[in-house]
Amino acid sequence: MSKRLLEIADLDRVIHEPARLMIAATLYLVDEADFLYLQRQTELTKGNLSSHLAKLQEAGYVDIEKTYRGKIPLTLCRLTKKGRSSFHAYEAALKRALF
Amino acid sequence: MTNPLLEARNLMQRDQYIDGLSEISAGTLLTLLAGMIFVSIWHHDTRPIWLLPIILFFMLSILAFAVFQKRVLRAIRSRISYSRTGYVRYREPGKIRIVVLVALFALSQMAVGVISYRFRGQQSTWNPELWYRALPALTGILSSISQILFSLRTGLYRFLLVAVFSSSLGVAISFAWNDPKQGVSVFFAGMGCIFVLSGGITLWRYLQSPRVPEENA
Repeated sequence: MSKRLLEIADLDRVIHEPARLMIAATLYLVDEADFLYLQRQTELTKGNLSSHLAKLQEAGYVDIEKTYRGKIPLTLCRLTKKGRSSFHAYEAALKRALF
Repeated sequence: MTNPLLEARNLMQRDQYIDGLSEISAGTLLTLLAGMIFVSIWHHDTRPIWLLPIILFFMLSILAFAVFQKRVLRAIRSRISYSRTGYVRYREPGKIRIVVLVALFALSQMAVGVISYRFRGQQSTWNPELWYRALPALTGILSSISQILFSLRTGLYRFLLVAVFSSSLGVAISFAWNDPKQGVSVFFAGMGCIFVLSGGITLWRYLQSPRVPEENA
């Protein structure tokens, strides 16, 4: 098999999962966003989004801050430095392997 | 094949204009500028004493706009937009991008100066009146080009109508308005009104969309 294609095996599996890839790509393009915005962008269900965010947080890719906007609870999400560089590396690796 | 990240970025840029508030804000600034220019040239020979508070009002309004615009927009959005489409803070444009935009604006104004000098007619020296005369048409055309590009990139086709309006208004004023300085203020007022109108209609339609229950935020 082509060496370039073999590189696919080394892709970051935390980001490679489609739902997490959508979340990471969305957060990569903004500074921070709340749960509702991410749900609108990714079209994931609340449960799905919540569990994938937890996995990204576990890997240290996403920083989640629970706060309030007035009396309304607000979940703010942002990509950490590690998450940003991992996404960048993932994008570069995928480009190298496929294009 | 288009880059999906680039496509996502364009869609997010489109989302920034989903509630029409940015256009209303830009339109308000343009209208204030128009008012400021208008009162500055009104009775400019005699300049009665009662005109000074009006000039001061416009100056302070523009200053207040520059200082509080971001804060006020955020406060309005937190009441009407974040509960409908979610909260997001977009990445600030990089320094290079800001420098390029400022340079492009300065170049466009220089182009207005050069073109107005080129077409100075019988006059031997450059006359600022010519600059005022050329300003609406060239600003209208340049801004309509950027609006058309933005509209095609983001799919927000209302900006095509704004582009057609701004270039037609600019050209019409440059060729038909008798007093060039007054023409500049009318041009800015027209641009401001079309932005407020376009943003207002967008906001009105946006407010028809339901809020998401609070526990979902």
